[in-house]
Amino acid sequence: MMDFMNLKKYLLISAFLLVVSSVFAEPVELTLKDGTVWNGETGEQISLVIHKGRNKSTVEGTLSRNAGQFIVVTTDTRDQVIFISDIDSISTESTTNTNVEDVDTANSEEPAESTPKPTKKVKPKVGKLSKGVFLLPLDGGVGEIIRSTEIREIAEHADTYGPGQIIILDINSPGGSVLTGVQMRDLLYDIRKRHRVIAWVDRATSGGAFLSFCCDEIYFRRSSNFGSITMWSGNFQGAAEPEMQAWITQLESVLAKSSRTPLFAAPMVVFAAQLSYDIDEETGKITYYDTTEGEFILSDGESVEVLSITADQAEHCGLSDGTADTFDELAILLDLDEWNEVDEEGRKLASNWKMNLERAGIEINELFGEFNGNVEAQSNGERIMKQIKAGKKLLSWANKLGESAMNFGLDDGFLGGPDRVAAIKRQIKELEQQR
Amino acid sequence: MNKRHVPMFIGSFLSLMFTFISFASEDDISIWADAVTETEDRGTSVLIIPMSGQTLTDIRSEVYAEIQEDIKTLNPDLIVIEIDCKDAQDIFYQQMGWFNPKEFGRFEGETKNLPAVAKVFRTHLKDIEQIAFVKDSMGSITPLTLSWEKVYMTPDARLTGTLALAARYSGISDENVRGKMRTAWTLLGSILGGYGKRDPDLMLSLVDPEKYLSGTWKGRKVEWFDHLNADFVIDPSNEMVPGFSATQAQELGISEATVDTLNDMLLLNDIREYHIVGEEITKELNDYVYKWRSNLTKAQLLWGDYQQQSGWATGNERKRWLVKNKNTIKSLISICKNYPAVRIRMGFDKQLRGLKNILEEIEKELRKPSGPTRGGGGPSMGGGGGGMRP
Repeated sequence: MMDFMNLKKYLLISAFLLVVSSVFAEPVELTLKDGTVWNGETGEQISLVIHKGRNKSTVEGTLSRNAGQFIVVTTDTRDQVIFISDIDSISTESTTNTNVEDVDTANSEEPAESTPKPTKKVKPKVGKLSKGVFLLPLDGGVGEIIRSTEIREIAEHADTYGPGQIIILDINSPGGSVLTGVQMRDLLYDIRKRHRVIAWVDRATSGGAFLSFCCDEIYFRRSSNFGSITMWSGNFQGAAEPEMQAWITQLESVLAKSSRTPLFAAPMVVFAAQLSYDIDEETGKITYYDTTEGEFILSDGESVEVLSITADQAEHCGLSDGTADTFDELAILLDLDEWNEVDEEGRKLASNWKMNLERAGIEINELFGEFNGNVEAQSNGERIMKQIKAGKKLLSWANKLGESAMNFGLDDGFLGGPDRVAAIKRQIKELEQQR
Repeated sequence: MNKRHVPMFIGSFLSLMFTFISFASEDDISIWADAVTETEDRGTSVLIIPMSGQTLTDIRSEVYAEIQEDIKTLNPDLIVIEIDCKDAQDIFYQQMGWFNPKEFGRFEGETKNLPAVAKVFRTHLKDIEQIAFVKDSMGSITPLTLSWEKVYMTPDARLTGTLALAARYSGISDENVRGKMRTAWTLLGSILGGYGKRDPDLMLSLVDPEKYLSGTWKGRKVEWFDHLNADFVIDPSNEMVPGFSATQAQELGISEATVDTLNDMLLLNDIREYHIVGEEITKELNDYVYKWRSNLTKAQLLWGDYQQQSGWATGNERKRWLVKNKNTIKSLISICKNYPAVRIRMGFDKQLRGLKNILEEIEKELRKPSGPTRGGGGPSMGGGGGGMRP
């Protein structure tokens, strides 16, 4: 049996060996699938081209471990296991401006170039995420002015800077179409998989509030008003009971998706629902109740108004993540060193869309009139020509307006509804026949 | 540090080191958990069979029968059937009525379609391991979905029954005839469920609204009953069919598990490395859907053209548009013959008699002696010979 002194010595040596092994680099020799041999050591900065199934990609990081069949490369975000057989090529990223060696040149018998190769500048990729902000103003009715296209486009633009960007939806909306809101829900959920999506609200009533709930975080302005998400039809009639209940359930699931209490849903839809909360003095933890038993009552179920809350109330009850009136204030709340707006793409998108809408509002009615024959013409032939021209311009507008075209009578048969675009095409054929 | 402290120091140091190592190995576990790797040619060979859209149009037995031999030759280790059939985008869309009924799954009078699809996979290809990976299974597709024993569902997926079969007999007033038809149609549920070793009471409740459904736990499995007296009741109505969320399906043992991705599902089946095979087969199936749907658009345009051109076939232009219409209808018949799915969606009869009659009528009109002053029109509009084009 090992005596105590020997045990101490053994442990000391073991510990030393463990420390040594973790401090000093180990030589690594890798034989790639094309037979080339790469020699290096752990701790080296390497860049690999890997071919996994149908995907080819590049990985940059530190070679941490060689396990025979695979290596572990530590990138800025994680340890990545890479099978040797997936590696197409390896190059060593020199930090001392000496040589950039790759498998093709490592075994070459040709003399090394006399002039040192310039150090390859490593582009920030996965992990080195600059916390860039992309701001998209969403000002107006949901479905009427606010639509999915601009949100999708700003996300695609942010995608080009890599995942983890901050997309801020600057929302000022009195509400709008429930269908459009729900379509945007799906889009926002998808964007949230790769970016941080923020609602920065001014006025967010009804659809505006729903849209905010679909985001990761919600920040208010001091003047904000938020809530009243009751669903109603065009003649100010509330939706029927089953639909209203379905809407509450829908809101509850959206709230839960962002880790907010689903109890906010019902009082924002029907005035009879109650909501109160307590705040634990020591921990600050908020407990919500669908009764009036909490110390702070948001909805007593007796007033005739559905729940709508201010910035102060929202912050106090934990609905908002903070209140900011300026970019700098918001930057602090977002845990940014400073307001770092990457570019003006979001503002451009919003402004272009606004201009298009204004033009559409003016032109489309006139075009419909012309298409229906309300044109000045010297002859029947000229009249028909002008009608056809107007029809083609309407089709062009339908294309340009996309999902919003139906607001201008240019429906495309969505969800089995009328297909007015097809009818215009048919009418153009009719006119061409008459010509 | 005196001597007494050395062992203590070493002990603490080692305990820290081991803590570090044990955390590291936890990290390794998570690395391995993520490490279901798609490779070029290593590991399990997986064939993906897409099954998306509408039964009877997108999902047609002859399309799968055509690739059956190719699959046998390919002989993959695993076939993953990716099922994504939805009548509406999600439950809320459904509740709000935001759906296109034309896109609902269909049976029409063709009871043989789904059993024939099941036969391809569950009989002819039964020697190859198969898994149904369900992204949505709403309505008509569900009996087929449950013909696979191993079903995995994504978190948002639904598995709902269908009223489409009941629609075939619910309007029959004679009780005996109705009863006979009810049995004939709803038997489809238990036939398809039989391939997946599913309980007949569960299967029938999914296709027959008059059936109830309750269950009793037997260990981790559920025994299903067509009454309301078991431990828990799933379908208490004799007017509706039940539906299950992914979580419910998992808890009730209808699905194996809820998974986010193909990789998650493979991991649960102990597959760490896989490679996709038969991409040309997968493409062929996707191409079929693309092609029939493109041809549907074309057929709708042709049908609109025919109707419009019928109105133009008068006076001097009569013959010109009759000839044009003859070609239009011929094209339409040709598309419908190549793609039965188009015929079904266009609502034409199975033998295309309606279209053929139109064609005959047009030819009859064209054979009539033409005269410059005679008016006319399409076949249904009567009319005379019409004039020749200058």
